[in-house]
Amino acid sequence: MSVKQKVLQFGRVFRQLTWRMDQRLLLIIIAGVVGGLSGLSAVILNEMLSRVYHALKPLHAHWGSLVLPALGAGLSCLFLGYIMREGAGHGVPEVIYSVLKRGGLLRLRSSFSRLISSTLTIASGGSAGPEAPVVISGASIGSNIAKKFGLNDRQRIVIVGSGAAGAISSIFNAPVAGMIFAVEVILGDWTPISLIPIAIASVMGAEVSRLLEGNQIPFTHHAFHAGLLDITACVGLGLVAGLASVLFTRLLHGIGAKSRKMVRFDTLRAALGGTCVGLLGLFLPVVLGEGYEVVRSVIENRFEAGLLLATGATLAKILATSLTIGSGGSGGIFAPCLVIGSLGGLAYERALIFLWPGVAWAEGGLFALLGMAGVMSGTLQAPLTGIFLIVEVTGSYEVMLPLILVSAVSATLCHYMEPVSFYHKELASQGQLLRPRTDAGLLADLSVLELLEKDCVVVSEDMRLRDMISIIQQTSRNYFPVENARGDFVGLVHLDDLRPYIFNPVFYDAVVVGELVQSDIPHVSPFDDLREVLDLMDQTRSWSLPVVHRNKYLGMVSKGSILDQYRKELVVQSY
Amino acid sequence: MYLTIDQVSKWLNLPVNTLQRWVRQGKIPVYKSDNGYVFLERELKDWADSRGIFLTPKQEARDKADRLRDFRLTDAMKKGGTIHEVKGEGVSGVLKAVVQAAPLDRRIDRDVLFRRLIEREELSSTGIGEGIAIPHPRFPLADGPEEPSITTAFLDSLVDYGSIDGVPVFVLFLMLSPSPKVHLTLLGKLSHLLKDASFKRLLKQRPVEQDLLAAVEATEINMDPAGRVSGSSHVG
Repeated sequence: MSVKQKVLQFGRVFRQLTWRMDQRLLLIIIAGVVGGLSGLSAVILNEMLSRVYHALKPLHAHWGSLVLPALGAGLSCLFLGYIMREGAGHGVPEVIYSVLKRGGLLRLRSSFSRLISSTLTIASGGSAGPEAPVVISGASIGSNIAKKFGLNDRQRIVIVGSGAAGAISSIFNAPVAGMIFAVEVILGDWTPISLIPIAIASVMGAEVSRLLEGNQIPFTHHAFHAGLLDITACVGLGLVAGLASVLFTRLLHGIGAKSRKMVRFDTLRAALGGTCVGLLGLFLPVVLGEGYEVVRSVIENRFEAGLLLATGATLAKILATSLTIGSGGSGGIFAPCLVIGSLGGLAYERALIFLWPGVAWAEGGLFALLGMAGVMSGTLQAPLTGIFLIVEVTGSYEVMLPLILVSAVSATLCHYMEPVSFYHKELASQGQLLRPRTDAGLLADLSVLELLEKDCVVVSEDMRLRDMISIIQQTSRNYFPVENARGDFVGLVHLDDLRPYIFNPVFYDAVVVGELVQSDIPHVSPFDDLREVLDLMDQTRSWSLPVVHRNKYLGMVSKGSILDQYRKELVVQSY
Repeated sequence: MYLTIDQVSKWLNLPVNTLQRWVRQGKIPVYKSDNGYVFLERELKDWADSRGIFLTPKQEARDKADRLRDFRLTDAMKKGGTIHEVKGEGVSGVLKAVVQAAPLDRRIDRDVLFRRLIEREELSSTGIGEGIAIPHPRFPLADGPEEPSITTAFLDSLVDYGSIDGVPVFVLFLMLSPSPKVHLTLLGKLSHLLKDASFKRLLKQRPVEQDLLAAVEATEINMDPAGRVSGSSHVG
C-alpha cells in the first residue's frame, strides 16, 4: 500500500468516525483544537513583533522614526494587495461580514497574511494593535477546519467564533474576555450551543499562551482603592471616554474616506499615512507602536505628564491610529483603545486635581484603568468585553464597580452619538448588518427565486376573450400574465379588468387580451433583495408582483407566500 | 423510514432550493449519504413538532403515492380470493356469509365490515346489473388493509339484490381499499372488465380461482393504470 493510499484510507476512516459522533461533541472538540491553534498564532505574532521591533530599535533613535513607519505601512500594503490579494484593513469587519453573509467562510490565506502585514506595520512604529490580525487569523483557521469536517453554516459560524475567542484569549491571557468578545462582537448570538464550544476554545487559547509564554497578565496588578467620591467622578470619566471613543471612531472613518479620495494608489497612501505617524512620533514617541509599554507606565503611575501633555498625548494617539489604519496600514484598534483610554483617564485625573486640588483623589493609575474600559466599551460598543478584558489584563477585581459604571456610561453615550460600533459601521452603511433572528437577517436569507409562484396561467397578447373564458375556468388565480408573440412579458390582466366583458357574449370575439392588459405594472427581478420587493409592494399597494428576468416572465411573488415562508424561516432559526 | 429531499419538500410544502439552503445552513436535521441527503422520518417529525411546523399528514402523502402507483386488479383479486356456493337469505344474508367466509386480513373486524356494507347497500344497491354486484364500504375502514383486496363470491342461489336492471345476482365482488383513490382506480378497471362479453361468459360458468385469475390477467395486460384499454378512448 502506497503512502498516498494509506493517507486516503485514514481520511475515510476519520470521516466515518466523525460523522457517527454526536454533532455537539464534535463541535466542542473541533472548537478546542481551533482555539489552541489560534492561540498559537497569537503567540507567533507576539514573538514576531517583539523580534522585529528589537531588530529595528537602533534605527528608531535617529531619522528612522520618521521613515520607518512609512516604509512598514507601505510594505504591509504591498504585501496584502499584491502578494496576498486581500483588502487592507484590520480584519474584524471581514470576519463579522463572513459570519453574517457567507456562513463563516474565510480564505485560508487570511490565517497568516494579516500576521505578516501587521508585523510590518506595528513593529516599524505604526500605531495599531496586534489583536485584530490575530482574530482574523484564528477565525480563518476555524473556518477552514470546519470546512474540512463538512460542517454546515451554523456550526461553521460557531467555529469561526471559537477561533476569534481563542485568539483574544491567548493574546491577552484573558479567557473570559475572549469568550465574551466572540459572542458580543463577532456572533451577536447568545445561545448555549454556541457558547460552550467558544468557552472551550477560549480555555485552549489561554492555555497555549500560558504554556509557551508563561502565565502572566499583560499589566502588573496594582491594588487600587476607589472611594465614594472617585466613583462619583467615574460618571464624568465615562462621558470623557465616550467622547474620546466617538472622536476616534469618526476620525478613523473620516481619514479612511478622505485619504482614499486624495491618494488613489494604495501603497503610496499607506506610506504617506506612515510618514504622518512618524512625524507625530518625533514629538510624541508615546503614539508609536502598539503602546503596551505606555499603558504599563501609566497604570504604575510612572508616566510623568501634566494635564496638557496627557490630553495632547490622548488626541495624538487617536490621530496616529486613525492615520495608520485609515490610510491602509494593517492592525487592530484593541491596543490603541487601551492606550487612548489610559492616557485619557490620566488626563481626566489631572483635570480633577487641577479643578479640586484639595480633594484626595485616587491614583492616576486607577483612572487610567477605568478609562481603558470606557474607551474599549465605547468604541466596540461592547461593554461586557470592555469590563472583563480590563479586569483580566490588570487583575483588578476590586475596581469592578467603577469599571461597570464607566463602561456603561461610555457605551450609552457612544450608542447615542454613533448608533453602530466601529466594527459594524461599514456593514451597517451598506445595509449588511444582518444579525440572526432580526427582520433584515430573515429577509436576506430568503430569495425571490425560492418564493416564485408558478400557478398563474400565461396568456398571449393576441388571444380573444372567448379563449380567456376557458382559461379562467381552469385556474384559481386572479392574475394572468401576458406575453407577446416573442414570449416577452407585456403586463398583467386582472380578473377585475375582464369582469365588464365576460358576462356579455358580444365581446367574446370583439375583445383581445392585448387591449385589456395593464402594461405599467411594476415588476421585480429574481435577484432583487426581498426588502426592496416588499417596499415596492407597499409603494404600489399590491399584494403580488410579477417576476421578470430579461423580459421573460418567471412567476409571481406575493405577500401571502412571503409571510408563509417568513414564519417558517423564523421558527427554524432556533436550534 | 428514510426520506429524500424531494419527499421532504412535498411534506413541508417548500421549494427544493429552500430546503437545500436549510441543509447548508444547518437548519434542518439531515444525513449525508453517497447519493445525496437523507432525512430520518422520526427525527424530522420531532423537529417539525417542536417548532410548530406543519407536516402534510401521512394519509395525504399516501394518497399522492397511491396515485402514482399502479394497482393491479389481478393482485387484488388474488389477495381477496374466490369462494363458491355462498348460501344466504336476501342481501344481508349473503353479505354476512361472504364476510364470514372471505380470506380477509386478520386486522379487519368482520362485524364492523358487515355493518358498513349494509349501510352502503341501504344508500343504494351496488348491483350493477346482469347479475353482478360490487359490495364495498362507503369509506375505507379505519384499520383496513394496506393493500386492496377483491373477493369473488359465487352465490349458491340467485338473490334479488335490487340492481338497476332487476336481474337477480349470482356473483359478488367484495372490494376493500386502503383509500378512495385506490378504490376508484380498481372500480374503473373492474367495471371495464365486466363489460367484456367473454369474461361475462366465463363468470356464468363459475370458474375456479386459477381460471378466473388467468382470464383477468389476460384482459388487464391491455389496460393502462387508469383502467382504459390502450389504443381506445373507451373509459371503463
